[in-house]
Amino acid sequence: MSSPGALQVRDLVIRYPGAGTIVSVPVLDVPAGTTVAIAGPSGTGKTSLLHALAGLDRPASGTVAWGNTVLWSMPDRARDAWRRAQLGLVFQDMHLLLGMTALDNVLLPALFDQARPTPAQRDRAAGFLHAMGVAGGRDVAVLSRGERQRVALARALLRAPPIMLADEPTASLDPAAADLVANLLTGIAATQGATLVVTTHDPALAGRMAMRLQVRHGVLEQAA
Amino acid sequence: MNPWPVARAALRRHWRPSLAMALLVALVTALGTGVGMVERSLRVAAAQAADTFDLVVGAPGSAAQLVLTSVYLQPDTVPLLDGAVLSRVMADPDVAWASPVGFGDQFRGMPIVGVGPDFLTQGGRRQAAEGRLFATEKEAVIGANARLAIGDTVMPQHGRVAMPEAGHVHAESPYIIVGRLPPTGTAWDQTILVPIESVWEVHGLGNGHPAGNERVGPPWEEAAGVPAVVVKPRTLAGAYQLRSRYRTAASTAVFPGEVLASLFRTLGDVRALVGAITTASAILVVAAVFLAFGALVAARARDHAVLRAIGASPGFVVGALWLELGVVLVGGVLGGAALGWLGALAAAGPAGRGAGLRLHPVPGQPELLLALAVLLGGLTAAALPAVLASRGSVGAALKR
Repeated sequence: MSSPGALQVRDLVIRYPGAGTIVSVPVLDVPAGTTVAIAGPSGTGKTSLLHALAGLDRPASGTVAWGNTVLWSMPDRARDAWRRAQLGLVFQDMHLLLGMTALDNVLLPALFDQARPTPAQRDRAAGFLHAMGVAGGRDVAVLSRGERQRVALARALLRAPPIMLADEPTASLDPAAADLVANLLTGIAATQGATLVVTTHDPALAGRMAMRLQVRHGVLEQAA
Repeated sequence: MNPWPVARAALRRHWRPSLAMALLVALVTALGTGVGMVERSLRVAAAQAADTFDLVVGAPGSAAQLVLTSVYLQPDTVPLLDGAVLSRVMADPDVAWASPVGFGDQFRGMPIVGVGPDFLTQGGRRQAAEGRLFATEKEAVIGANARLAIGDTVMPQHGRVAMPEAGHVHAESPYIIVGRLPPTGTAWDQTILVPIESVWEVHGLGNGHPAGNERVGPPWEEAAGVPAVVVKPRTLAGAYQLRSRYRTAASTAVFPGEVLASLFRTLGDVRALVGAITTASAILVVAAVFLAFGALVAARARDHAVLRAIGASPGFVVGALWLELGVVLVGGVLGGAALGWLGALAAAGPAGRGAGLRLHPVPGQPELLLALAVLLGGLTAAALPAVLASRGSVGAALKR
């Protein structure tokens, strides 16, 4: 049985409706616990590729398997459950829930199958926010972009998922904030032994990853 | 699973449209429940007012007119019942007690009604709440809410309450108020009750007794005509016999309940119309809530996609949306029910005054059912946008 963090992609083709192939991945094997950067200019389909890897966007063809789970051959409900159990997702635009505090946003995934977060989850969430220098009681609407990105990161980490996918996590952050987020991502992935896949056009972030890939002419390939 | 924090956050963020939807729901609930409560309280009060009038005997004519003038004291002209019939009724063995009811005068807008002593005591079952009952032709007893005091002098003026042209003052026949009756919640609470003998006498018809006899009360050996006679039968069977016995060429006899039933049937048609209008309003409001909520949900498609993306099940998203709308609907329905009750209480005064009744609008099963219908209708209407929000491509929604 393969580890849940091991990624295997075969003949993956992603198209937008009414458009030609945006990005394809002939073969990709990522061992569990590996950090991966997918680089490339804007508009090359990095986000769409990440969504296909996260089970959010159905590809035109091909297979995506995390461990023994073949994402696109399972029903929606099972894929939801897989995401809930295995995946931590960080969006480029953070997508925090306004009207909630930073701490409540971090604890949100705990409510998907529990009535309330456990004390351990509360401690873990508060610990993340403390380590990231974010006040947990503040409404996320008043936080800076860098602070929101850290809250989004803490939310993705709450359940200590074996897979972490981050879409441009340092985009539009100032260098100091970008460095902090990059440190947190790689540090926590290493500590938890999680597989980390980031899309980025930031060479500094890409350079910190063990495996560097690039979308070139619509095909994902090993970066030079 | 606990979607409440998500629903609460959405309510906080979108409090203006939520409040607008709640107000819309509150208004239609208030309208439906308020109208229903007033209408029902009017029926109850009208029925209670007629309770003490088992049988009314009057001159041949309209039964409704006889009941409205004698039981509810609505100002109208009714033909007089011959005094001989009054005497026959008073002597009838099936009658426990009876009292003539004679009106035509007023004082400061309060009707002066001539009655027999048994009417005051309801055949010995009622006492004065204050003072005593009248004992001479110059004494009067007032209803519980009459704006007079014991010891006041009343100068009868010819004419009925709602007839502003009322004119001639019977200055030679003043009354002194000697007592006040307990409240009945009917038009009789605003009346001045005087001996029927004095009413006859004021109008030049003698006093119902042989000359020189100044006593008050039956038998009236020389009874003059009266608009109506209130009759308390000894038995239920006797009541039907009396009704039959006095339905002749010279008189008519009616159970006020019969007339009320006929009036309520007419009122029932109006109620059905009001009910239809209320139902149509409720459907329109539910449709408006559906559209508003649908638009609100569509505008937040990305938020719901984020929830799905980070692991929430479709059920969690539906739950969050339903809770959100549930709070709006419950708030609207409860607020509307309270508003409807307050409105009904405010409307009860003017509505009751017109009929001389004291109305007590209280919420009942129909109001509860209406509130539940609005609540369930709204939640059902919200199901479609909520379910749609939990379906579809998460990735596509995230890119919007």
